[in-house]
Amino acid sequence: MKALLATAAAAAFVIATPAFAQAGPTSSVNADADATIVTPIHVSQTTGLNFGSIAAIAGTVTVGSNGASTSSPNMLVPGVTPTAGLFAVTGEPGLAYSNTVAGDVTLTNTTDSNATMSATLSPSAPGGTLSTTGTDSFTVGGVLTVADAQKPGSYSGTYSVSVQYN
Amino acid sequence: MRLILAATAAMLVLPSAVFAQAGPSSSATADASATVVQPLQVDCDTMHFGQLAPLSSPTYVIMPAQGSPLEDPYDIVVPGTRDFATPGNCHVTGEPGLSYHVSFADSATLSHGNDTMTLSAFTISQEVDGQPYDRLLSSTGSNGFGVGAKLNVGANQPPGLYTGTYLVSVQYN
Repeated sequence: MKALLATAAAAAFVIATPAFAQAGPTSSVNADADATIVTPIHVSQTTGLNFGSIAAIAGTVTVGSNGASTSSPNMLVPGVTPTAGLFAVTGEPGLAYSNTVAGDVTLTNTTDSNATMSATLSPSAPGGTLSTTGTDSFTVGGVLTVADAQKPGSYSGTYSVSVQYN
Repeated sequence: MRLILAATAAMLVLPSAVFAQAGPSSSATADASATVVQPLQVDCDTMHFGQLAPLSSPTYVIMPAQGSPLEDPYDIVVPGTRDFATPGNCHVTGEPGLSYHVSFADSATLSHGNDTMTLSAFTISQEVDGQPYDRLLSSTGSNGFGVGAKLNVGANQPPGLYTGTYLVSVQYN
């Protein structure tokens, strides 16, 4: 009986030893991690770029990004005030962003798709910083080239504007 | 038969008497030893993901265990903060020359109020021997490793600073 007990005890010891060796004292830490989710940046058009009412003679009409308009020669018809394109930007307060504006836009006669004019575009600034309320704005002006005997009518077109965080 | 029994009884009594009367004895000095080693301790710097602009569909970024740049397949990292992303650099101290094993929890949660994001797929920076989870303490009893993970960003994830913890464990091999 003593022999049996001794054998059993030894066997138990042998089994126990490797188990302890494979699971030594463990030290753990709850390590910190963080991430900031920001308000996505968004741009929308508040006011469309409008070159006004123009006489059909060869020349250029310029609408500054500040909205001031000039033409050469004098071809702007009073009554319709040219306006620069105005864009509202919303996003994370305090973050800087840049904008990308198409280099030009083609305006097409709304009743004759073969009659077109082209304007080069330029933004008021290449970007900005969103306010403490997460808003900002910029404008887009352009230079419209009018051909001699440009077909009368209403012309329209679209151009792309995008914004991205810096 | 009686004689045999008597002799047996005498033999049984005799050893007891010898010990009781402090007869010849033998003694030896026995050895006992123990080695106390420095306990393992681990501490980790905060894993920073920087600023992320979510999309209308689920996205993710992956922090490499070696550090920047973040893997950003959906282009959601605010570019100006890309260089500020840092892995969870962990520092281990213990007995010089001993090896240890590193393990992570399967996932962790970062939260902002009731909104949450899941951190998963933890990775560890490589060591020269190619066994990154079994590492060796230096002759001064120190070692370190970087921790990376995948941060799952939900569709239209609400803005805010999300914080949380992830479990890092080390033990001697």
